[in-house]
Amino acid sequence: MDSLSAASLCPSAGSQLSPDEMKLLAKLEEQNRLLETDSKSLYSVSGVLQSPTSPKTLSEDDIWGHVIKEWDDWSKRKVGQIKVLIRRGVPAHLRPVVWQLLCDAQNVSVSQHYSDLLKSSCPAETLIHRDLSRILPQHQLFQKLRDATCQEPLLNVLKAYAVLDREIGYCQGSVFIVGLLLTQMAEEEAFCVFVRLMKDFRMRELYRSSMVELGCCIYQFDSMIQEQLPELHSHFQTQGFHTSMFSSSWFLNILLSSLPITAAMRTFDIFMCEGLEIVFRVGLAVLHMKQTELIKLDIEGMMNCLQNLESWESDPDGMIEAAYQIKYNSSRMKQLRKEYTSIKTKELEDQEELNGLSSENEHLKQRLDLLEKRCSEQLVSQMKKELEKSLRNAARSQNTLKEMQTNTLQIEESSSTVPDENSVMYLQTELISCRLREAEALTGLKELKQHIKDLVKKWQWQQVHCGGQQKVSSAQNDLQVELLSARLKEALTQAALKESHHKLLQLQTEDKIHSDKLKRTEAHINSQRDHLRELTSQHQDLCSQLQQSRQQFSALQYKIQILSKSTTSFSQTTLKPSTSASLEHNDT
Amino acid sequence: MDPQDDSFDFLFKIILIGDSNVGKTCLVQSFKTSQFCERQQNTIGVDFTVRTLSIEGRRVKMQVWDTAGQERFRTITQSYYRSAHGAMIAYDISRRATFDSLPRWIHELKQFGAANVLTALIGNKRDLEAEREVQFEEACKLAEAKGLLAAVETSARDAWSVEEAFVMMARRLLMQNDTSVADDHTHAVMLRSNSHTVSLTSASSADEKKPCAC
Repeated sequence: MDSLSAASLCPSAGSQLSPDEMKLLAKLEEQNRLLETDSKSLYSVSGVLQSPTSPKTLSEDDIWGHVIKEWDDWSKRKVGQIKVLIRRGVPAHLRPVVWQLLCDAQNVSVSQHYSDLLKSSCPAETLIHRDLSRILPQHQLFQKLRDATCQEPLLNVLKAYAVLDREIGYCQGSVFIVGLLLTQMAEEEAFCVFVRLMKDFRMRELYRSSMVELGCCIYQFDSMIQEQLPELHSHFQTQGFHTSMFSSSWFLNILLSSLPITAAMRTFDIFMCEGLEIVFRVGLAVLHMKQTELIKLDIEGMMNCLQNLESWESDPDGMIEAAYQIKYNSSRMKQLRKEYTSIKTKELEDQEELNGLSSENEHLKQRLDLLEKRCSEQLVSQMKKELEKSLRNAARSQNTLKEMQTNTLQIEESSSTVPDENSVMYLQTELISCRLREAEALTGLKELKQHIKDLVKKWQWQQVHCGGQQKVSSAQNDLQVELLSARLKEALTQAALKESHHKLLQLQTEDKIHSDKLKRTEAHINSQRDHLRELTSQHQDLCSQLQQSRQQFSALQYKIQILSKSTTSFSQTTLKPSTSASLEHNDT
Repeated sequence: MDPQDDSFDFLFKIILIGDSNVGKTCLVQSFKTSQFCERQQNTIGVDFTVRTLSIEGRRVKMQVWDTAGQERFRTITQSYYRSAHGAMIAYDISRRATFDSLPRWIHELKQFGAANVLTALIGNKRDLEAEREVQFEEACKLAEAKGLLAAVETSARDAWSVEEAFVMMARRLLMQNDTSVADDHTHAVMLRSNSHTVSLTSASSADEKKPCAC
């Protein structure tokens, strides 16, 4: 680094004031050195520079004049020389032309639509408006645009692009690029160049909504720091200072917002020719230059240091030179890109998996909620059913209770109709006494019969005995026989009496039963009579009603007759006799 | 680095997020220098500011990460979420759309931030009362619904409640990390938590600020 800065002193000092020869010599030396570092350069610039005229009279402007005049040829066959020339810096007054040539802005197919684009509206317009109104006025880029009227072209270009490229729209970093372009050229030209930059210079990818390209650039840049400035990189890591913290805007703005204007212009010259590589180179050169300073700083100090790169202002040539001292290996960059892509893919897959899992989780939660809800609903409905059931049960038991109550009432009623205990007792004793009487009567009968039998035996014995003593007292015998027969008759009569007495008792009971029956029947008859009486009264009511209805009916009939008569008389007066007749017929 | 700033007892990283142009960078500027910059350049990627506060004798270093608001920068800014201890989600009280995107920012913070990140809603541009489109109560409701620490209305232009908002974050983070620090009832902060009575005794703005009702 020290040797580099010492060497850079020479050409930068020479280019300011020294005579033509010195100037040219210095330039050639510088070019040679640059070519050595640039392996892609195929042509020697010195030959080109010397070819048209004598080297002594050849000025910077002459060379550029020649290049611009024969641009097609140069751009096809002398790319290396163009690169060398541009690394030396495009003369300020030629920048508008050179930049347009470099990105082939004349052949942008959309240029004719520019006015149409301005007429349409786009959603980003309000954001652009707001952003423009607050852009740091002291930024060198916008000194000319500080006026509100001068901001219009900036707004127009940004808006036109946002309309043209709906996918990218407006990105906040782009304002610096468009601002820089507008310091060099007219609105529409700036628009064309911007379109080219976006399309062909990876800018579109950088600004794309996912910013994967920016992530890739940062990854590559971080790897470069790690490889080329390992000490600084480890300091960054211990401080928790991530490369993206300072380099995001470097890439998105092509260092325009960080570098002083002259250095920014020089960087942009090279960017227009060679693309984003210069940002890596200048960025790493800055870190290289400031390494010793940065290592002493904490995160805040480093951030401040890297955002303010004013110290480069005095020496843009030195900066470019330092940038080309940086090792930049295209194949390594490609490799890093691959690494980044695989990391990103892995991350994306992980994220997708995570998303999938979280959405699944969400889904499951929802299901759980649903199930819980359903479960509770089921529970509720079940409870409801149970409630209904128990209510029904309650009603049923109430009904049965009522039934029971009515039953009890009935039973009570019926029990009141049943004769009371006393009467039952009375009847039972009556029955027992009846039976006793019966048994008494029967035993009396048996005794009497036995007595009769004894008497008959006695009588027979007497008859046998009397055969021998007939002579003694036939007359006495006769009397005795008579007595016996009389006694027999008496006994028989007594038995008959008892029997008839018994029969009388029986008859008396029967009579009692019958009289009871009679009483009940009478009561029934009485109730029937009452009913009959009611019915008759009803019948009479109905009859009277009928009578009334008949009267009403007859009254109505009478009215109808009157009406029909009046109708007849009326029709006879107005209608033909035949019609009236038919009417009469109808009425009847 | 300033040697005076070197010593601190606690370092808290605060991420400041929210839609573009709600005044995030101005808030940080106001916190850092108590100055308002009318035309603040938009933040590309991320920027940050450090200020050391003294709270109850403890030096608390607040590292405020100011992020770009435009949606496409989110892939870049998201990588800063994880290491943040606190988050301030800013919106513009005079632009409804910036409030409407708060749920998206909260979701983003949940997705990429640490699980216990302390979050506050900052309704900036309180000075534009005439153009107010978002009522403070709405912010309080949202803060409560999402379980956030607080909702605060600020004005970076007038340096109004900006300091308080940051001090509130610092105090709350200290409470989480050091139990000996009590919640400050005398400070003019609007805490969401029901357990803390909100008292507005700060003389400068007590009458202006409405306490968070939630």
